[in-house]
Amino acid sequence: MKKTKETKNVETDFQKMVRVFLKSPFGIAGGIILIILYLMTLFAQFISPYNFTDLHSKYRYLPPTPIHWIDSKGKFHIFPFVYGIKEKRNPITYAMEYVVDKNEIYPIHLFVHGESYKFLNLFRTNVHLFGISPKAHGMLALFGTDKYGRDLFSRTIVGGQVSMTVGLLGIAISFVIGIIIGALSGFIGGTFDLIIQRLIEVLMSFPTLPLWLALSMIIPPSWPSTWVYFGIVTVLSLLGWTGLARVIRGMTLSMRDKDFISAARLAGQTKIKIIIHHVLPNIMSYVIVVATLSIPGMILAESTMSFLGLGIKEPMTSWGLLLSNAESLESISLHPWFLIPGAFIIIAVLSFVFVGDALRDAFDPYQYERK
Amino acid sequence: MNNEELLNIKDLKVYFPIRKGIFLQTVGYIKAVDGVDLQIKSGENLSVVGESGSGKTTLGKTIVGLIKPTGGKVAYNYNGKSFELFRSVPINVRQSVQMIFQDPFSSLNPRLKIVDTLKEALEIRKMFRTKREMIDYLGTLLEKVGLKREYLYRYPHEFSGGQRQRISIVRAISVKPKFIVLDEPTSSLDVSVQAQVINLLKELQRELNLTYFFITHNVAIAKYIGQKIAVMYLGKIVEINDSENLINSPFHPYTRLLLSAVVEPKIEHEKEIKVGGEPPSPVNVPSGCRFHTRCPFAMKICEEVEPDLVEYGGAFVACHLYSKERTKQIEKS
Amino acid sequence: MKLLNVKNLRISFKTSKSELLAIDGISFEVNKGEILGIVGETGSGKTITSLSIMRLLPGNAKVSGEILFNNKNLLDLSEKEMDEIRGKKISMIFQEPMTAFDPLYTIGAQFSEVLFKHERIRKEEIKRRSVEMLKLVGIPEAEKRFDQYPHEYSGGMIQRAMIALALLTNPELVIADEPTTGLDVTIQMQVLNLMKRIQRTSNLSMIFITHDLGVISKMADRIIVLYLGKILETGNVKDVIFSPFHPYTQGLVSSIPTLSTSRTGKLHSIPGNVPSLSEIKKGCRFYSRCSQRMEICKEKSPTLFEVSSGHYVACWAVEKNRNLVKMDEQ
Repeated sequence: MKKTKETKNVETDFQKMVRVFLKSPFGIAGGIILIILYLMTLFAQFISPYNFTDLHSKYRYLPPTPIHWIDSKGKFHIFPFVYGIKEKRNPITYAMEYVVDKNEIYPIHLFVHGESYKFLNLFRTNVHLFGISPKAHGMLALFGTDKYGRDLFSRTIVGGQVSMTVGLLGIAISFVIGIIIGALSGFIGGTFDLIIQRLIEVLMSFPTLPLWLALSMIIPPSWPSTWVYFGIVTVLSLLGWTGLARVIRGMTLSMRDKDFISAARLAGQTKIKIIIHHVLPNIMSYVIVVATLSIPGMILAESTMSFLGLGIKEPMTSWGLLLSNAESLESISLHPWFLIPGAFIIIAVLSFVFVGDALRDAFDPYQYERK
Repeated sequence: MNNEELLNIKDLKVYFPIRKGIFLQTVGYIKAVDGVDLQIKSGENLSVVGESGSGKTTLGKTIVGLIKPTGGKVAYNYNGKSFELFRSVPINVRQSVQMIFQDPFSSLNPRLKIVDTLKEALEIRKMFRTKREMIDYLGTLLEKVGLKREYLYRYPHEFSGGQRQRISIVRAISVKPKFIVLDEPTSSLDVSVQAQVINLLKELQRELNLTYFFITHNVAIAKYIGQKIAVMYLGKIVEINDSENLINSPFHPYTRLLLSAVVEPKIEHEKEIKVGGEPPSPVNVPSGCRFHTRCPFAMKICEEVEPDLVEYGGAFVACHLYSKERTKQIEKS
Repeated sequence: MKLLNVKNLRISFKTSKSELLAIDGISFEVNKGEILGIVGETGSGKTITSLSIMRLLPGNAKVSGEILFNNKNLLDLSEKEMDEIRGKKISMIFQEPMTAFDPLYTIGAQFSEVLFKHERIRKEEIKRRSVEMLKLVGIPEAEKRFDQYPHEYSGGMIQRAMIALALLTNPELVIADEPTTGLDVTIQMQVLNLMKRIQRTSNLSMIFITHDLGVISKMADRIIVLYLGKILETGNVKDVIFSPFHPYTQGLVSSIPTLSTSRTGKLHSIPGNVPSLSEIKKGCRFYSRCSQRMEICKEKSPTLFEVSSGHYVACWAVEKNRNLVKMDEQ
């Protein structure tokens, strides 16, 4: 324990941090998954074989289409393919059923021309990463389709755009609110601090669900879906800053009595500048950890709201909204693939938790001491 | 050296409320400084000695304006005008009083390069027109305290405790102060480094015409730095005298106790020195004389009446052994 | 009679980049009924030495040499055999008693744990002996104090309780690592008086580690001056403190301001800072700060030689002067 003081460490804080972070397999895995998820949402329309709003009335409730390499005659294909699909009425139940037509083979190609969309909102194109011929009698529905015959895979990927960004944006806003209120509360102290702390306690003791209900009622139903999206972000961050503010206040309090802060005061530095130059840089690493660990809460909150029909509205979509397809036991038992978006929520949330934990270890100064 | 009055402290009280409950009602006070009167003349170093809980650090921080007094007044004279430093004062007045802290590891912002720490005060004051002049000035100061110019571009963790303390000294003297409060600046340093820093401080004081308020628990260092020594016990000054006299002929029983407890090398340690009791907590200050619970000479009057700081044999002592009340009592009997 | 005999102890630590030699082949002994003082600054290795005797060093430490306790090499013992010695035959007093005691248990419970572990005696007997020990170290109302928690003790009281705990099992050797460093001077004096009195009456052996030359000169019979893992000087406390030979000891002794130091003169000081272990080169470890360094000091590390009976110094300059004197005499 004495050694760290004795050896001059030329390694910078950042290098140390990276080194410790890279020692955590969960952290690395979480990080990689998050990078993949965000790349996926960035290029969502390019990756998805169909436009997420396009209806395919011929293929409603289509289960996930299996992908084959070997056809019914035992012949191996270099490109994976899907079989065609025919509709057939069940002679007993009179329900429409899908039958695989093994005579029709549609190979999956890369860079297929399909429905047109705006690539990264920049220019129009109809090239999709992969897909089958648009003229095919069948669909490449990796996650199945919903009751309008919309491709769930495409919808999940596009839905990720909302679900994965709502947490980031929400945390960004509550970060700013939390830092301003927390740092001021901790640094100024006294009555101001007392009032802020009680206000936070009141906010925190409200049951969240009714509060969401009330706040989402404020969002007018006539709003376009992008506005609704920002409305949701605002609601989430207005409720989410309290935890962050408390953490920042606590850390500011512990920094306030440090001698270098006193020295800055004796130099005649203003309070605001002391907070910006001395307090915040020293607590930022911890704040980032707390922020990372509160993103999952925001993702879950958005999902819950959308699931309950209080959040994102059609035609926009999110994982929570997609999950609302699976709202009844009957629906789940008939169409189990409706649960797939839920798996994405779990994976995203866990990844953030893993990354946050690894970051916490990386920032923890006691961790270095043990090395 | 002129003898103009630099600081005038009158009946200074600093209480810290002890709060409990959700509305943080005050349930009591820690009386860190409880009625201190003190005058400091320009060029006359004062050392304050005392044990932990004596309030010496709080007194120092209140003098420089980091803590607002609960009662009483600290008047700081700058060019014939009187200021209270915890209020907002002109920047040249503010920077003319500096402090050097005990813990060299918390006194420098770990995220800033030395140059960024050092330039903060100079930029507020706008002391230099160009950056180059400022860097040159700081470099010269670093060399003056025995460090190298290129240290400006390093981070605090690259330095030892002694080096950090020198950097803190540069920060304090860079704004050309008149008065510096030093809070145990050498107590966390290695023995072999401690003497270097003390020598440096003494040299700077002479050269830059500074006045020191030197807080320490080490009576020997207190004597070496200060012309005068004030002894504090539980928030009050119990004795002030010229340092030589205080050490050679202490009056207050607490001063005597403190001096007898000093362990030095090169003296015979054959006989055991009796040192009784422990200081009470500053939350429950004893009635009357604060020291009566440990005092070997405690009398009845000590439990009831708090002694004033009165002149006795060239010193100022707060003890009934030397007070008027006592003299009266003796006269009566 | 030698109770503890440390021979050529070397301790190094593996780090991610290099191996640091914290203790470089030191030998010393502790006799029965004697207090051996170890003086040193940051990085001298004084704490590491004591932890190595207790076999409490962290896993990345490599220890070689011999630590003979009652002629048994502690380094060869199994962990179970060591458990029998640690806390029973050899006990420790730490610098921060507040962290040495567990805040969740009463002082009594922590005393009982130690006594029960080593002696398997009955509850009433445990309490009787604990209270007796608390009384011995001067804790008033010991019966009441037995059932109190560490935070209910003041700083001086908790250090006394720590001493009582260390003495509880009648150890043969007590290692005190800066036991009074955090205490106020008046309390320090009380604790030092107490330790000395108990040591004298029960003829205890003790290793007393400190950076404070004043404290060590009050407490120790013999002392070791440690600098960066090497013994520079050792001998009777009077010899070493009053007539030090090594430039480092000389500098140390004269750099401490005392009550009789003149206000006007300059304090003597050793130049430079204590280098870190990674900066050490071959030759004498004090070379970079020494006022009497010579060519040989840079190349070859000096070994201890006897300057007077029982007083050893490791310094080329001292050795050279001695030889010159001898030659003159011849």
